[in-house]
Amino acid sequence: MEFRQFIASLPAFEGLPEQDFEALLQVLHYEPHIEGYEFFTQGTPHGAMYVLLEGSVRVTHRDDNGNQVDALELRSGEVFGLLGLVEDGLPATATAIATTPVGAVTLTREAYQWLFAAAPTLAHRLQYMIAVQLARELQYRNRLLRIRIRTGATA
Amino acid sequence: MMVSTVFNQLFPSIHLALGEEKTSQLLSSMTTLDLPAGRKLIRDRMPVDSLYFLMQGEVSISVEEGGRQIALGELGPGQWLGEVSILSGELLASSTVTANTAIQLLRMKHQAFADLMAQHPDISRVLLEQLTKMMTERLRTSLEAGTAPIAAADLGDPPKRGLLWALFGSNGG
Repeated sequence: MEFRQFIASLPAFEGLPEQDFEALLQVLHYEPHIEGYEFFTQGTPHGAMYVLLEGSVRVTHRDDNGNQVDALELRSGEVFGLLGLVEDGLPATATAIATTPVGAVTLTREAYQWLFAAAPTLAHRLQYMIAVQLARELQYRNRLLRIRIRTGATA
Repeated sequence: MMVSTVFNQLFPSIHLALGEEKTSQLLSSMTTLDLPAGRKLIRDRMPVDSLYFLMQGEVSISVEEGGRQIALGELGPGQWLGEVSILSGELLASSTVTANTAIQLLRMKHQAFADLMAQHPDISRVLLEQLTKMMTERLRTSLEAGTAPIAAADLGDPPKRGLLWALFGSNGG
């Protein structure tokens, strides 16, 4: 499928006004990456979100002792690293690594800010997705706290 | 003092960004709720049907498990409550909120929030900007506090990091 059609078919970007979609295509930057490429590392701020076009990416989360506690395999068309768009940066809550050669598009935080003027409908949609991701992360953190209570890790 | 005057004082960024008319529109989507000291406004892992703006009094936030709890802190006037469950889509509370004193809140039902998001992008943009800032700081604090080692079997589903397929209908709403 042609790149333009593929992007337009993704739920995050479908049904956008023409002007917003053209602005999106202007700021999405395609890059191929080798197997083992690290998009972002847990604990380190990063400044972009990504859309996986081809290949496979594994997202992992580790506890404070470095033990991996969960993993998620991403497929073509999935958006990841949304919190990289948050103003002032936030340490990544997980690590994303290419497990095969991959092709992905990048949207930087600067480009996201630019979209508020150039593509308000798209910017609003991304803003909502970021808020949802933040809420899910906070819920996850509280779930970790419950486990600490259950296992007696805190007094 | 009128509710709108108190709201504008406690949530100046929203008032400033929206102006009088849109702030009034926002306030018209909410109702006032008064609760006595000791009452639980939100109960951990129980359904939550509203987003709240704390107008008066103080609440404590805690996470519960098997009759034990960890206190996460206290919040006073000018803070929001219930935003995590409304945005995560789980509609279940992620913590318990207890009134330390008599409290007054402005309550926005989930449906009113959803309507604002879909029909009033100018208002929802301002709300999302404020919510994002607040949740970013809460997450930053939580990340800095760290987590103890945990067993994968205990964890359940990790937060979804892929495409948020369920969020958008055909109109992208």
